[in-house]
Amino acid sequence: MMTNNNEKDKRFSKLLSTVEKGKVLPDKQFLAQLQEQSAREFEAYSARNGTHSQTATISIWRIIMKKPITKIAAAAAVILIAVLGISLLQNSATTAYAIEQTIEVGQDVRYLHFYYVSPDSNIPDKEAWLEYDDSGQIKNTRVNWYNWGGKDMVSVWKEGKTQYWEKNKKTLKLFEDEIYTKKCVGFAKRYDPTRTVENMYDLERKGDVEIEIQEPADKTDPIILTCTYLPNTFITEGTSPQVREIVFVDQVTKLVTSIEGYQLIDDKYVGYGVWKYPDYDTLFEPGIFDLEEEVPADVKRLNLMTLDIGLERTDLTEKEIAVKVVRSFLQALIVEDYDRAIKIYGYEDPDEKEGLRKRFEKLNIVRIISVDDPVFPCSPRMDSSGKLEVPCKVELEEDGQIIEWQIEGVFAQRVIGHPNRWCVKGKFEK
Amino acid sequence: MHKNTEREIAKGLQQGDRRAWLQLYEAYAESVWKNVARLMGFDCPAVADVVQETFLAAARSAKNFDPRRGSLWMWLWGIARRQIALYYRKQDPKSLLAQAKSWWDSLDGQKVDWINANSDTPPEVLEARELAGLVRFALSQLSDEYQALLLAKYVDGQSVKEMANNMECSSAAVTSKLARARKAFRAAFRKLTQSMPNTKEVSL
Repeated sequence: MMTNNNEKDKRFSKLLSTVEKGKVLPDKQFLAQLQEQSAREFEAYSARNGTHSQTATISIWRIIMKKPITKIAAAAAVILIAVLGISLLQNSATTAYAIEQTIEVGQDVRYLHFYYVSPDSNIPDKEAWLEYDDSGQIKNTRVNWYNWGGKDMVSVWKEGKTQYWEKNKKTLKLFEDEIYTKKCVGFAKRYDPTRTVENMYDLERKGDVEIEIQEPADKTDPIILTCTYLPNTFITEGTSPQVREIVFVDQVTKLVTSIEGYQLIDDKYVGYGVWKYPDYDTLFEPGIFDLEEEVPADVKRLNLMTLDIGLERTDLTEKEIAVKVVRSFLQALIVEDYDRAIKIYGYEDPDEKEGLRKRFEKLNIVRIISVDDPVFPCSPRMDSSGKLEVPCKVELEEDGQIIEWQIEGVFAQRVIGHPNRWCVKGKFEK
Repeated sequence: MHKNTEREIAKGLQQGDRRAWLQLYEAYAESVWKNVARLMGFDCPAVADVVQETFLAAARSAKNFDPRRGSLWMWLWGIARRQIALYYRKQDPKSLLAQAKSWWDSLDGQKVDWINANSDTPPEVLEARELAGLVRFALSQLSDEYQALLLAKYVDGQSVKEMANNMECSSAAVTSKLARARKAFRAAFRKLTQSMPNTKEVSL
């Protein structure tokens, strides 16, 4: 029997509404006091643009401590601390280090600099600088890639805007893009060692990760956390192999100094790289999050926000728009409307248009045979949001003969900086 | 909140304008309280602490709020969620989870269908404290966005159109995100009830 969607929604709503159990109205008096105190905190912080207003915090602490429920909770906490204290003393004979210590000290870090080294290499392949705001939200990021797939690149993400410098191409792309922003935030979450350790710790509590702690007697040696992720837990969406990360923690500061990554391949853990964390809270050089001054004068500035390329997605799903852009592109080639084909294909540098035209003119496509269902192009370990591979087959005329051509590597993707527009990518070379 | 109001508040926050902060607080203080209480339990004494920490952290960073990175609500809720996670990290939810899991295991019926909303969950199950705990744990495994979407739609009863307005996106995008959020919730719930941490310790 078909289940009505409304009924399903109602059932789901009943299930989720169980969180309303024991519902009480918000404590208006508390909220009113917090309003005033938080406003003072806001003003103090905005004016000082720096240090935390201790006065406001203390007075808020007082508001809470005046509440009867808090007094009971505080009494309970004292007892709990006493019990925990005894328990910790008993445990301290075996291990003094607790992962929470690393998480705790990492919470206050605002400036983080680190780099990544491939196996058997001493030269960094990637280097990153992260800056957090006072609430622990990521504020600015910079990543340098050195000889990464033969290319040197720098990406700076600041206040939602990205500057992307491709040194080999001598271009500096400028754009604001929601998905790129999410990627930058995701990058920070993934590679900030405190957040990595937090994630491990949370997964351990769920039973998805096993953590073994080795704490050497010699205080100059690092504490070693060996974290084994069960399959499909390293990356939360999609499948992932069994991964092991070995985290080295300084015994004195409790901060992570490096993380080695391994993948289980044919029953052996094979290293895929090391992240090294030499600096915590070391102020960065001024201008590190602005490439305008840094890039040479001969680098071409490309503002991707001003390009009029791709097709509007309207209300179509990602798969529907992917098929539509590929089909529209192929139809434009068939009728030899190259301006339209170039617009749908998309370009980043207007100087590329002529080259594209020449390439497209060589393709004598006469008919679309099929444009099939799009598929996700990359491995589940990579974020493929906004990009789909679209299998398609056409007929083309070559030397007076009509032949079938299954075009390899045709992609449809979101236009960077224009979330509602999609374009085509691919070599289109036979 | 209307887009223009949101933009004005954001501008005011960047300029350190107290009125903007008060407007933000007026608009969202109760919602933050309510949603924190939903995820921690209305009887949890730490709700006030978490709400306090959320607004203090927000007050300290409000000047840097960037509307291009998301709505005010998603920004605030992201901070609240982080504070909830910090609180839980200091607690030990294992025994509570184990209790809830034993209770769930002891139930008869088409439990998968209840979670997939293919059949009605019996009223006595809906009333149980343990179910509320499991739903909270499952919700806490989701992203800020999925949490906010599910609570808005299924607990607050907001329409897709209202949510689309709040999120500044199309209704189709909200519908699609809701479908993914429901899927993620069900997966989290299944995972919680199938493989609980330290079940060996509990069964011994």
